[in-house]
Amino acid sequence: MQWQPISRRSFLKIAAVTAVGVSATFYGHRFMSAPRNALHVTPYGNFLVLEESHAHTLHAFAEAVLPRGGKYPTPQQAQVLQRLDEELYFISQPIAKDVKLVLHVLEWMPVMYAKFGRFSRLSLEQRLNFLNGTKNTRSKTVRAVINNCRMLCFNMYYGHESSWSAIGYDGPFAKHLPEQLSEQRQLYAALTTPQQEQSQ
Amino acid sequence: MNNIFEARDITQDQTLTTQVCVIGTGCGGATVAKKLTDHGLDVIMLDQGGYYPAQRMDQRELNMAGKISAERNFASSHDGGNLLLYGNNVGGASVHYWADSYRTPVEKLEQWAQEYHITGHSMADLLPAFEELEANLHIHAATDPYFNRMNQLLRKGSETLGWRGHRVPQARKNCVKSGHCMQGCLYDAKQSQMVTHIPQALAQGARLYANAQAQQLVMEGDKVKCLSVAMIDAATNRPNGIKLTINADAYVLAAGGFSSAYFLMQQGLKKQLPQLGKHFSMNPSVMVHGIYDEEIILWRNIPAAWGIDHFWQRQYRNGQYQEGGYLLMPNQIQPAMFAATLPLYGVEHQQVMEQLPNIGGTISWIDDVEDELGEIRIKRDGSREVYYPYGPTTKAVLKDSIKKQAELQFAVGAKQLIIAGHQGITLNSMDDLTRLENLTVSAGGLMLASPHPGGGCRMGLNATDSVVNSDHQVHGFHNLYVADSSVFPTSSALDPSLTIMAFSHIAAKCVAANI
Ligand SMILES: Cc1cc2nc3c(=O)[nH]c(=O)nc-3n(C[C@H](O)[C@H](O)[C@H](O)COP(=O)(O)OP(=O)(O)OC[C@H]3O[C@@H](n4cnc5c(N)ncnc54)[C@H](O)[C@@H]3O)c2cc1C
Repeated sequence: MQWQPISRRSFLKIAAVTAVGVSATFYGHRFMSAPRNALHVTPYGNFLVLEESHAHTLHAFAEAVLPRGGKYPTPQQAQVLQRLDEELYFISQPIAKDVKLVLHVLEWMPVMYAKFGRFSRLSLEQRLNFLNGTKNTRSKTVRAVINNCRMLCFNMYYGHESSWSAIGYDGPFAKHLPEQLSEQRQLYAALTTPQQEQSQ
Repeated sequence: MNNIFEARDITQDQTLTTQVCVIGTGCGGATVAKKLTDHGLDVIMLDQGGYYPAQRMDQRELNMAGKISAERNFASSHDGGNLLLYGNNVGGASVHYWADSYRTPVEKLEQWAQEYHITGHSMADLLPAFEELEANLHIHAATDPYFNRMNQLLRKGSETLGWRGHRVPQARKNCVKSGHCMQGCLYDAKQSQMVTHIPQALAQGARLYANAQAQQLVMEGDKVKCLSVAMIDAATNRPNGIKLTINADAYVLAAGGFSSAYFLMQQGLKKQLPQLGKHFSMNPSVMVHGIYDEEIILWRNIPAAWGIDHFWQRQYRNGQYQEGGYLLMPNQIQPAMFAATLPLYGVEHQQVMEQLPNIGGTISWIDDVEDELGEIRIKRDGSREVYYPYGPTTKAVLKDSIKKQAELQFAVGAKQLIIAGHQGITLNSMDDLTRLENLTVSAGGLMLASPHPGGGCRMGLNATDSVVNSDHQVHGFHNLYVADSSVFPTSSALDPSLTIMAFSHIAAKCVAANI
């Protein structure tokens, strides 16, 4: 199927409107001083930066682009969303904000193509069709959004030990070297683990 | 050692006094600190990043990026198209570097002297520094056992094609070939600043404050009176409310090419120093991955044992760019970063990843074109923007470097090439090079990475053409200096670490003479 994207100008217009919406939400949150550590409980885990809507979009995207079946872990097993959330929690806010914005634009992009519903609500086949349809797009914005999401997913996925054997990577040179969790990793784990579990 | 302090060691505000305060502990800052202690001076070194010696390393890509990489490798240029790789840790980017250690080409030093009026940094001036550094950092040409298969192929390719190559000078001692240079060396074999100048400076009495972010220079006329420093909580990565005030006779800024100009802009100095942030270079690097019939195992042994310098200078005919302007090297990346550079997804992606052991690749870093340099800017919200224009010659150089990488890899048996980026351009033979016509050099097109920032605090004559003078002194200030790659007038062409360190030898002399 050949997707006919709407013009770059109208896409950018919609993207800008959604961007303003997102920025307003972001700054609104900040000024209403939502605690930075507020936990977003989502079907995919507890997150500190990604909200439920971002989590749905990212999960739907990860499912579509990552390897599937057999020896490959699922996005959940490879903790793609958790790890990305953790990274976003510790980097500068403007960068984290951009990533959330990209996810937001991805969610609405199929709507802008005037064919589909929101990205996370498409079936797997529809998501793949949509992504394939954008492959040769001349819109830099569309490419940038999809590619940013792809880079993030792959980076998190192959950073996780569960994906290594499937691709013939033998892991760290120092075999049996235990992970040395940084103070930041330890803090993130503590902040995202519900209190009851911590006290058990 | 008891002269290393981390945030957890500082429980209340403190005022510290010293002769020289050095901001940043990468190749620039650590070297200047070591040399100042050689001169018998008392030195405080500050780094906003954490202190991660070998026993805190674990060779995992994401874990280590979280410890030692600025913005966990998420930082990019203004349009998102170029990944900015640098350090946020004691030792700076020397902890992630590949340890390729080149003297500055004489041609560059001459150009800087003639066109940018730099004095005191000729090859004759720098030679004693190069000799001392090469001995101290055990720099030697890579030997045969350190050639992984990709390096062997690169050498074979350069010989077959008649392209001049060389054994890359390496700063290593007793390297075990782990291939984890970019994750930090667990074996203290790589001669980063963490195992060389920092412990040497500490042994001579210097003090090191990790998690200590220089924030505000308090000025009085042409002097910096004191520096306010915020301690960064290692767990939250945010200021913990505790402050240090540092009273020093001199301050040396060595926050690195992506940060020094930005730091001075944050002090409100842009009006006084209009060149601040300008003339920014970063050796944009482009990667071509190759799939081979044989096993390559790109992720082990040292990254670059053989380098091709045949094309390091741009060639022009009748004023028209012909070819060259880059260094061509083997690539080395671990799987997470590798996968992120792949343009494919779904089944195609899976098919490539399953061939990981047979995937090799090359990378070229281009010598930034002098009249197409970038700029470090400060945005309205106070954050930094790294602007890079990708002018017409830059684009031509990037494309030429891809063609040469393709030619070389096909010559040594690659059966398919994948250009790192987002457009999904793959090449099955040299005939496919026409596909490069569709290549876009911008976000969403070619994927670039930049580990060699320079400029932004250009060295020169006065405030109308530069930010620092040839004594590394910031124009208009008596006791404020810059000693890192940001003083380079243009890109240093080859990997910059040794140039940065040699320049720091000169900077230390100037600071010491002025105290
Ligand atoms: C992956 C990679 C591979 C590389 N390979 C090579 C190679 O093989 N050969 C080569 O020559 N070069 C290589 N480089 C480049 C080289 O490592 C750098 O050019 C060099 O280390 C930079 O030194 P620097 O002192 O200028 O800056 P940096 O190393 O960036 O040091 C600056 C330091 O300042 C600190 N800082 C910043 N702001 C503040 C503040 N406000 N307060 C306190 N501290 C602050 C930072 O945390 C950092 O530690 C590589 C770089 C990377 C990332």
